Amino acid sequence: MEAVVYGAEKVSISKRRQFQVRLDSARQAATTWSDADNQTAIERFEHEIHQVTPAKHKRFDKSFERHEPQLLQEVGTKATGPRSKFTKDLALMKAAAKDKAYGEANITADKRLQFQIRLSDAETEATTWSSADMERVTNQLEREIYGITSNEQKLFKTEFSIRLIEFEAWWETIGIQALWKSIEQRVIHFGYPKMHLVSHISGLIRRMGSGDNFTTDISEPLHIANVKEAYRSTNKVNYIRQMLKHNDRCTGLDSMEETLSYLALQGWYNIDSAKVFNLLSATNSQRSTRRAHHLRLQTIEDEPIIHPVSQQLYHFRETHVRGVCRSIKLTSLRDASEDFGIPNFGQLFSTQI
Amino acid sequence: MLRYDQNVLLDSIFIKLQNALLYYRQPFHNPTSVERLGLDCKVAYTNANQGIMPESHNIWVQYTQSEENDIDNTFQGRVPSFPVLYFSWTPPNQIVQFQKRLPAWKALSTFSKRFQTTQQWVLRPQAQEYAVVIPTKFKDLHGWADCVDGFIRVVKQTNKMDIVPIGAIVGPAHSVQENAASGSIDSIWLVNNHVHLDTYWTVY
Repeated sequence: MEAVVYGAEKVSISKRRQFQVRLDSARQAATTWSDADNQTAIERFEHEIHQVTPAKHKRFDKSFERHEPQLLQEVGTKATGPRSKFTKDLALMKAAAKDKAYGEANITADKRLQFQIRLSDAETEATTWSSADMERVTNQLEREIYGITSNEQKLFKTEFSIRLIEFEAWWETIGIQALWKSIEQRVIHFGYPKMHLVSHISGLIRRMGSGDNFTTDISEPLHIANVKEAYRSTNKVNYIRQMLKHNDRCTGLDSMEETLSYLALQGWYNIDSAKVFNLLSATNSQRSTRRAHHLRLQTIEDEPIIHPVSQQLYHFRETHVRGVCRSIKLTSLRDASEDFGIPNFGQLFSTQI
Repeated sequence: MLRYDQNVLLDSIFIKLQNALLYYRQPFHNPTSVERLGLDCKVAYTNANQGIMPESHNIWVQYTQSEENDIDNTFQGRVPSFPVLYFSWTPPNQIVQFQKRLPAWKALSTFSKRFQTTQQWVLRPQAQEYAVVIPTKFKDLHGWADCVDGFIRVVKQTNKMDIVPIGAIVGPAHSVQENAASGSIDSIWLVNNHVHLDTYWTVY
């Protein structure tokens, strides 16, 4: 069954189960059970469980007929994807259902004749011919000749009708919207990922900041430092060699600066090197002025050359410090767990600390 | 640790709460310099001057030292997690007696204190800082990155919280909630490794 293609199974597996259970229970409870009873029961349960009435059936058919050519025309003409997938699928589904469920492809006139001849032969050959024997023999012959018995045909028929109803209900509720959505994706938002990604750009920039290649300022200052200043430092004769040497020296100085700052973080820095990098704290910068140096020479103050890094070396930005709030009072674990919503805080404390 | 009943622990242990902490961090893509930065976690705290306080920062927590194993829900041993509470705790003084019996990874930091009356130096346990965090786990198998945008998605772990020492915090993580407008509780978070964190923290 091609109902799988349309997602009818996903939509109402529970409903189908409910339907079957109720139908079975009704069959067991009833004293007489004819085909007419069966049909009425199926209609009733369809109405109750799937909410499908005959009027609704007709309305669906009409709406489908009205919508189908229009929608398929839009998909077929404007979309770049497979053309009119829905019509193909629907036709396939109907053909397969007829062939498979009803077994009509197998039941030809020759085979019917063959079946009747063999049935009459069996009747004449048999010693006893009760209704049970007849049923058994017909089933056997049907399976041999048609490949499917009439009981199985009936079962398939009911199952197919249920699934068709489910599909129609699904189509009415979800399918048309899904088709519209796919049309929107293909036609309105264009069908390919690059064009689709464009629709996310504004939101992504708001969430994550500007993209790459947002600015050309990075390469332009490099042009100034690496080319213009380098050229001005030459004597304008064989300048390429001199410019390259200038750039080489600049990069060497940069790496030296980096290593010095790294050493400073490990706790090793000379006060002169720190002065160059503007890493000095307020007190240290006061001490490192020329006047302070002069005074120190006068008093012959012995100071260690290498200082450990103090915490004042780094400056706090206002934005970083504004959230700091420490409680002075002590609080018990129970209060904390209640206030901050931490279940089993005590257990965590005993196991993880 | 003390092997008491949990109810006893809940009432007998007292901690100092703090909604933020200052720590050294390494800016993104610049491992040679270090700045000090404040980390906030979400608490009921209003400031009259600022009105709205900053949202809680998500943090990287170093769980293991494995640099190759990404399978057990870690990014080379690190896990982006959501801080719930920062607190500090000083262990009781008797713990100094049992210090030798403690395993190496639970060793206490102590300092010597001078008694004026007896003119003696005695060991005292030092205050230790911890954070309560909600760890995350990969949304996809082995944390495979999304084929379209190349980001890795994570999901908040339900019914799990961990107490981690402050030293295990590597730095702030920038994780973005997917479909933030829908407001579902078990939403998917996207670990953003493309952002320049230095700029991000100065702007927000």
